[in-house]
Amino acid sequence: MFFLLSGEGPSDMGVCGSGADVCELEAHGGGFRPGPMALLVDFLAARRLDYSPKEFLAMGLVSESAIARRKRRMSPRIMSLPRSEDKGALYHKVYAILLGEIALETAAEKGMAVVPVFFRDCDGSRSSPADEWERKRRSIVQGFEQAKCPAGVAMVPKPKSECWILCAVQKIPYRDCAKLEELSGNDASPKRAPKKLLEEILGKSPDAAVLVELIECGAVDPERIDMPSFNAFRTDFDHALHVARSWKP
Amino acid sequence: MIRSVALKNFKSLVDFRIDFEKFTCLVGLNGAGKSTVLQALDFLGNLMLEDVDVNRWLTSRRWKASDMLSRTGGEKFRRNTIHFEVEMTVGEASVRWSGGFNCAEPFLRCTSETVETLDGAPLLRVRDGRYSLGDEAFRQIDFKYQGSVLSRLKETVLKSYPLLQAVRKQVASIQSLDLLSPSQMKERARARSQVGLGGEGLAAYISSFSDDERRELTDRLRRLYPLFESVEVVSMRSGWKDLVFSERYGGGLVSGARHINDGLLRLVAILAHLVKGERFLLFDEIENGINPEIIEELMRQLVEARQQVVVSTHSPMILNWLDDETAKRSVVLLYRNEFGHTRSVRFFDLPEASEKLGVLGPGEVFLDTYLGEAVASLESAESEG
Repeated sequence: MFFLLSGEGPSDMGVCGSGADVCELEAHGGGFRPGPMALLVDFLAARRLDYSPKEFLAMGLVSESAIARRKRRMSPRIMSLPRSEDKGALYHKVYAILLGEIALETAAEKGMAVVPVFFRDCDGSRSSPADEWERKRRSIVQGFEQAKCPAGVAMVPKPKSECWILCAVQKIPYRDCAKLEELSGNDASPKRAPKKLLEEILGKSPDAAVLVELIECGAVDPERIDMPSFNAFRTDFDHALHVARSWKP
Repeated sequence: MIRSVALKNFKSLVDFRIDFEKFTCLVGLNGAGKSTVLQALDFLGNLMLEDVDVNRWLTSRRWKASDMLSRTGGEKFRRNTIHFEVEMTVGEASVRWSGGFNCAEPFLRCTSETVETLDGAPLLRVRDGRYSLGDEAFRQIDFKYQGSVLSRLKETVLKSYPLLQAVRKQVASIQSLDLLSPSQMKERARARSQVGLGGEGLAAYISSFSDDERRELTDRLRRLYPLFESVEVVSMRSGWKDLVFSERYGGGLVSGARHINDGLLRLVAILAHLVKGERFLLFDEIENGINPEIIEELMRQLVEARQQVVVSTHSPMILNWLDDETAKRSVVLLYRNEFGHTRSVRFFDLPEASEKLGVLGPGEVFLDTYLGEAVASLESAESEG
């Protein structure tokens, strides 16, 4: 089983140092350096599969520029129209369609099931609708369905990935974590920005390297995170693994 | 090339500025001010026409002079003057034409006017009923005029000022076809050098084409309509001109303008202006009457036109045919702030829009963006900043 990760930057799924459409791990000759969210995926997968996809080099990254390249190859006449209830999340749907297509091609190339995981923060700016998280998640699920990709997973924290980490490293770890979803999605918010709260706890800026080290040393147990947005991701992830186990490309 | 236009006190353009590229596409919600911007540009162009007649211009739009003035400007602008500032490049030079147009019925003219290079060298100054060229002394305006003083100065007076001549030509080249109406385009016309706002006079305009220009028009139309054969102008009695179209149906089908479809007629009017002249062309709601399958080619011809072109559109499909880089430069969002004043911003300068471009096409981003909310956060960031 291969995990194809995509979304946001170095402090989320990670970065790709090469221009490849599917960026393999550095140890596999590619340029993919996994970020903290990729490590959470690896942790959950290892518990369920009895092997670490990262250790088994069964993990790759699809960068946003690779998604955009694929989109540009399509005719502009093929336009996706958002329904009013999905307005603002068409980007997520189209992204998931394209990632799903790449996952299917990768599955055919590698001869194994591929689980695409699309990460996106739910920033919640002033201009965002109240149901932004539901819209984004629903659009990603619909995108994977439209691509006929059976094992796609939406990984959408509410409001940001730092909230999931905060749940594990707060004063009393893993307690009342649902409240953390009420924090601001705006990094500039003086008291309610998850990034600032995380910085106060860790005593240093929570950049990608710091968070990767934190997760690698076992300070975050994703099985114990109990937050609606993480629970939705974990449930989807379990379902995707179930589907992928019986998927013979 | 006209680089930017700033206006005060013209309808909803109370304190307004817009930058132009060689191709610019105006988007925005209904009532945001897209048509007003085109009308304002047409107004400025008319001030500089050799035979400027502001009353005639107002009549063509069925306006009174007072209709041009802002109703939302507040105390500061409850006056009769429209202020304008146009920056343009003329050859290697960058030049600014600015002034104040008095809308009171006896005036209808620029009571103040300045043309200067962007580094401040004066070319023309108009103050208190007098004018000065370059560094020359002021002299009395001893002629009657409407519009711009520059429009009325004789070639002999301007012979030492080629930049002023070029500015006059450039501003006068603004041509709006913002009211294109098939019924007016179908009308016979007498000889004229310019098509009217509604497309009237199209037949006479095409009759002024050389053989090469007519061939180019036919070629441009065939790229859109493969079955199109030719458009000819028939001369009638007393100098009237009429359009006749040939199409390759069966053994060949010949139709007069009154029997040709409205979309083809609009295309003829649009493309005829890409064939001839160095104009600054304005087309409102470019997609009207145009089949989706030919929009790609039409957009290519507009983006690659020799002329500077401004279009407005409500169609995401129009935007989706722009490549990302052109879209970033060219798509301008117009919106109204809380006072009802029209503002402009490059659409892909909005973070909500730019972050989606690439994965989504420009038109898809437009559809997927809450324009009202994006603009509200822009305005509040501006007022906080």
